[in-house]
Amino acid sequence: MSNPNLSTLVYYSQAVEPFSEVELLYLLAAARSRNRAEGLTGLLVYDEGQFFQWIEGPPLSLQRVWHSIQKDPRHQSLRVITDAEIPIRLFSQWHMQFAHRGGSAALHIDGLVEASPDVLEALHQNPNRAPEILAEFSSLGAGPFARSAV
Amino acid sequence: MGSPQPADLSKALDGLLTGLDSLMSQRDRPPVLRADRGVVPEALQFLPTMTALAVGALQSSAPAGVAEASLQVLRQHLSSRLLLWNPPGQPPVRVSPRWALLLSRLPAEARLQPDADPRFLRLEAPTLPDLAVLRDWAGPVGQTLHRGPQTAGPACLRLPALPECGGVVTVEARGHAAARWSPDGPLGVFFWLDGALDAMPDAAGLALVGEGRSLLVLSPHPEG
Repeated sequence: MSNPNLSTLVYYSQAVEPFSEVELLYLLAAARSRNRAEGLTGLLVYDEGQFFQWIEGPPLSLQRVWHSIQKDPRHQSLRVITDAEIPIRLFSQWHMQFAHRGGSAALHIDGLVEASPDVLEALHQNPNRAPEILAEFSSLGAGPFARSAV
Repeated sequence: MGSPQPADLSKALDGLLTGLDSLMSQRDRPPVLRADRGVVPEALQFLPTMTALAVGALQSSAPAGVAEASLQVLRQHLSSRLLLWNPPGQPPVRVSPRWALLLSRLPAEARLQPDADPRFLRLEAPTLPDLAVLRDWAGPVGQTLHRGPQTAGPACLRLPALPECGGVVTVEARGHAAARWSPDGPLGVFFWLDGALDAMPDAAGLALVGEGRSLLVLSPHPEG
């Protein structure tokens, strides 16, 4: 099942200061540009100052980007939940899909989705389950990360 | 500078001043990339890419061609950070995240498209709110919005495709030099605030101008 050329890293962190909607879009734009160059795809969820991110792609690229994410002074208390080889990409169509609570639906920015309050609540209540919850945003579904499998 | 900096303005300064301080401290010894030894000068490690490129583009003492090349890379850098605006039934357009506040409030029939002048985007609708309303929706960057040529057709508005990079007009305010955006002034790099500050309602952001100077950008229509 595993693919040594494909890994995923899932982490959560806390924003040092809450991000405005425009700041989040700048962050998203920069992440997409960087991920495009590195061949990475994934999903970023932001809610109430908390980031949850799924990144996937070639292990070396993932390592480089993770190194840069760790050095970003805009967030703190980073915690890695999953760092593993995966058989296929779950977010192959997005260099970084972005989900947050309300508001963004009217923006018509490609790759922005609204996260339901239930999903966000589940992430806050149990951040260690972020891999399975984030995976459900994928068009492929959670697959091996399905809630029943954990 | 004796009074505390408002938090939002401090955030806008993030990176810019750190980079400039680091660069200025090495004035007598210009930083050079030492690719042969794989060493990057410490000052450049803290210099955000956009500021580094802007400093290169705005140095009049830079060798011929360096400023132009830096400007071109700066525009490419900004262009690579555009987002795809893709409303139903309309062709997608790449936009700066800075326009998100304005775009989220436009009437559904408004159409955004590239302008004949590549520096601008063109916004058309059968009717558009007053320019003052649109500028208010956009926040401080709204000062860059201008009415397009008046025709018998739909109302037209022009907005800079890269509002982070544009012309600067230097003005004097309360005895200090300040800046405003202009379509045709000398080049500057703009760090726009998201919204007006309570403590400084006429502040719109910061502009990095020639020779590494940064100026407060003023709103032409202060509120309050």
